[in-house]
Amino acid sequence: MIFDASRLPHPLHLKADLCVIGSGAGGAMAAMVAAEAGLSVVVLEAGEYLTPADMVQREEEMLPRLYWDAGGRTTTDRAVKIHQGRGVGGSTLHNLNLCKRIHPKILEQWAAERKLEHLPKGAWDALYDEVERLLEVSTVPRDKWNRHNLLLEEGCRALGWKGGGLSHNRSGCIGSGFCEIGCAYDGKNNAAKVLVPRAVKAGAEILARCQAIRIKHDGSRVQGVVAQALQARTNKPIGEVLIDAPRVCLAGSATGTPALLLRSGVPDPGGETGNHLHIHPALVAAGDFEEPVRAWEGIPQTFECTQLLDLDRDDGDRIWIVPAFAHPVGTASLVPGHGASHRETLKRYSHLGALTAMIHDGTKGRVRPDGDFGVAIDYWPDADDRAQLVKGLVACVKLLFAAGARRVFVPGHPPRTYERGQSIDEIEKTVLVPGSMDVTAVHPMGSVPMGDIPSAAVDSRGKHRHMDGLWIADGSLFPTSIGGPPQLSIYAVGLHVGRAIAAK
Amino acid sequence: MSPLSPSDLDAIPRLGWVREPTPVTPLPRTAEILGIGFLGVKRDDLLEPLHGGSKPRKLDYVLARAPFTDAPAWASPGAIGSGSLVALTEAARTLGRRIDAYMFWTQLSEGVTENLAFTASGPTTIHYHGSRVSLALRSPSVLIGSTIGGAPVIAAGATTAAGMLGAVRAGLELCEQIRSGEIAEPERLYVAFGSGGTAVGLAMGLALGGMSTEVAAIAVVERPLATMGRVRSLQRMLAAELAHWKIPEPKSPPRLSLDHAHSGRGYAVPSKESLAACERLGLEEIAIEPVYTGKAMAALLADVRRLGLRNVLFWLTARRGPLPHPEDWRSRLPRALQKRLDAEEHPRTITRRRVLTALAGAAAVGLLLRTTGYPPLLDWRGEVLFAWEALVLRAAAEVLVPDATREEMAEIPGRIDHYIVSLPPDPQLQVHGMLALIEHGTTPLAGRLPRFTRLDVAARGAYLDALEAAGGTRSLAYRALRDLVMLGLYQQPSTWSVLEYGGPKVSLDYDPLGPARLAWPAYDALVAPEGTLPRSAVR
Repeated sequence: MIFDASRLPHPLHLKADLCVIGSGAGGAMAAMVAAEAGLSVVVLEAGEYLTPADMVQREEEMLPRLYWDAGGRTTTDRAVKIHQGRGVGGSTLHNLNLCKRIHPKILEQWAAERKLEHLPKGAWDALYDEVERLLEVSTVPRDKWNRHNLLLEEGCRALGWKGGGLSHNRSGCIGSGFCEIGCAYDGKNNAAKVLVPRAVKAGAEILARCQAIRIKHDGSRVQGVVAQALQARTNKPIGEVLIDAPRVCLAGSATGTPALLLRSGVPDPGGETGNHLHIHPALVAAGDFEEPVRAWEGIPQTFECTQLLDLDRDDGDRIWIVPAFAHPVGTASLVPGHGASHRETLKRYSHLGALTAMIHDGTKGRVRPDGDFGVAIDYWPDADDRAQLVKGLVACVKLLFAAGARRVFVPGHPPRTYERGQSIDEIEKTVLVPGSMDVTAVHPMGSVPMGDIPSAAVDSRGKHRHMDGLWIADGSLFPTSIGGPPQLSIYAVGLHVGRAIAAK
Repeated sequence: MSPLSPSDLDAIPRLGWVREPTPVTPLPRTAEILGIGFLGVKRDDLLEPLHGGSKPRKLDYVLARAPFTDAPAWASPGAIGSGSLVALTEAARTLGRRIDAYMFWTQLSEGVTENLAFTASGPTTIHYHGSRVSLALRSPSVLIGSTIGGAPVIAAGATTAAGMLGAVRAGLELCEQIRSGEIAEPERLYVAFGSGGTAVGLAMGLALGGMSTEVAAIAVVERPLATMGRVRSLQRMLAAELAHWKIPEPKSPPRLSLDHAHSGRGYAVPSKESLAACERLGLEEIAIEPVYTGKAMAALLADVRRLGLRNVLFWLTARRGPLPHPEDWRSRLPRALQKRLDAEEHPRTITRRRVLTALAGAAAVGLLLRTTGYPPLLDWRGEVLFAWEALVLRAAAEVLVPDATREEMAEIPGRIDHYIVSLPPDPQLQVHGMLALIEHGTTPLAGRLPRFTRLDVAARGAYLDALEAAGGTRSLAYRALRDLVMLGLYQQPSTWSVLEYGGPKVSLDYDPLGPARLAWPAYDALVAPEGTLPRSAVR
């Protein structure tokens, strides 16, 4: 069953065969597999349990409920915004359901550099097949694409650039367009809809509003988890929850997991924990079209531009372009300036189309715990990645004009506007410094990279190499950035690690 | 729901220290002078354990729970004359534990010295700090953490969810006395508001007991420490605790008003009125001290005629005296505290401390002038933001979103407050800091003496433009302010027609927490029934 930890007596003492921390794609999958294998499983989730009945499609109500820090999480210098989800189902509650396998070249690189004896390339294919069946992944038919995505397709066609439709895990989707603040129609085949019911049916107990603070251990073996129940609305700690468990599986995201490891003093002689964070940093440009775009209507992202996503070559471009959209609050924040000019731009809201260029990043950021409950993230793209970001931004502007935009806005400080026919050469000379442009990210990963090599903290089964009984089953495990939406691969990792736990 | 009695709380673990109700002593002479029908004093000074006072009521519940039941030592903050630390010291002596007392300096008085002597003479280790600020900076864990130096922390004044249960029980105890005919139901009950737990708990107890008495909480600490936000936060904490023990909600909400008019020159500093109130009760042979109960009594004396009250009760929360202590108690103090005591009791004409104090005083006057004088914002109900911060946001909105209607602008601060209530403490603190920078940065950053809210719209606009262009922290502050204002405005459905945005497909009137909540059986079936424990719970 699912319990609201804030409504249970404190202090609360639980005992289980396995305690899973986090209930997103990785955690819910690992919990489901372990519970179905007969282990008694307790899952801790810092966010609340939301059903489609809670999804009111209002940004001000849903952002605080579905995102860490109400959607305002940033790096310590505030230069990069990092959106991360919470709630039973984790980020799969708010993500846009994109399903894409990791490029074979990247899997080969992992095998070569990190060995991954328990997770060779062929094993990935089998895991993907299984997850795609489970989540009913399919290509979104073209007649379901909204005007916003069709504009990107038109831009690609006009420039002769590569692109194509995307696959999603949806069924029963009515195209309401509010995916990023939760689906009110149960159209997402996500962790909450597909995995959690099976986990519960198999006996797993999920404690919502319960944040893990520390892993209990004796230096070489885990003993359980110390957690705090969080008050509804305010998220303030209100009572201790103690879980005795000989196995603990961390799936609290690529920021939460390393922070918990470091806060708990889990040994890592190789020093990789928290030091290899990748996030897929992104920049955005918006075009003003004569015709109404109404980008908030319909499925948000169904078409991708892959012209500059050349992962087959070691020195190829690493830029992935998709439509970016936002509801009024998000858009008002994105549009630069204030006063009359800001209002005039917003009056064109229904005519705006936006594209984001997200890069397969090589930069290695850092995650550290910030007190008992927070994370401190340090990340700023290195020179190569900054060059890719600027190149991606230029590509977005070209695509928008090619699709018919009469002018294009480049949000920044100061903001820039380019009329149709005006030279955009100066964008290529953009020098990115912290604060000069709004860099955003939605895919943290790689902060505890797996590997069957001496420096790795975790092996390719997800098992910690220096702490018996400790496992990891989230995007932290990826040895590098993956250059595309990660949810499918995190589900796959959850399946892989869940089975390894059960086999043990 | 029928009114509750103290026995309705019997299922909640406690030490059982509080047994008999404390008496209510009528003060007919004072009542006659004031021209009212009844004035009574609820005598918690006569409470049996731990030298009396209201603190044992809270400790009765707090110390009955883990981790305090098992810990060999407890830690707690308080002033050098803290009554809470006195009660805790006696409790530790009784239960064979030790206390780590994290103390800060306050003005000396006979009562303060007596409390300090008693605390120092107990099983206590004193960690001394020269001020509250110093305590907060050097030992923050004792204020915001759950442990310090391995010892579990008991919050200041023992104001925790468990501690407030003691005050709820006290309120129910009074309801029994009223129902038994011992006294008539008072219109108002006056009580000092320090950490706030007693006042909030009493109000809840009275409401649960079916009374409509209003608790007049008289702030004895500085305004930022005694806010309605603090009250609401404590009320929510207490409501959750009561719900946990399946205590039903009261039929009518607790009645509590917070009055800042009697705190005088600050915490632990007697006022002329509080000293007069002590004298007045002294004539009735009831001893109160001038910094907590004296200020609450002063408020009562001032209000009776002003509000035309007829039937009033005063809750005497102070301990009784004298407290025993050995002659050599000063030798047990940390050296810094010993020196401070000596300096205060045998002052030199001009000392470094006095010069610094004078300078600090001048700065404080300047700060006071700078931070007061805001127009009242009577309808402000913020949980995170203070009223002055709401005014800063409104003033900023006039610049940032000038096309918004007056009604839309007025709603912006409240909507921002609602949005940021879920943020962790650090980001909330950063919002406070940003708003302070915007409001008071006008002088150091723009060379203008008036604060932001006193500038005209054009000057405010120029100031924000300058911040935006400045880069660094100033630019970040501008952007944070701008983003918050945009968030506060564009979530309002009235703004959407300009955007040609149709809004959510889910009705704006739909309330998922209300009776019309939609059923999703496949999801709803997974939720454990209220009151059940996980199977994995260790019983």
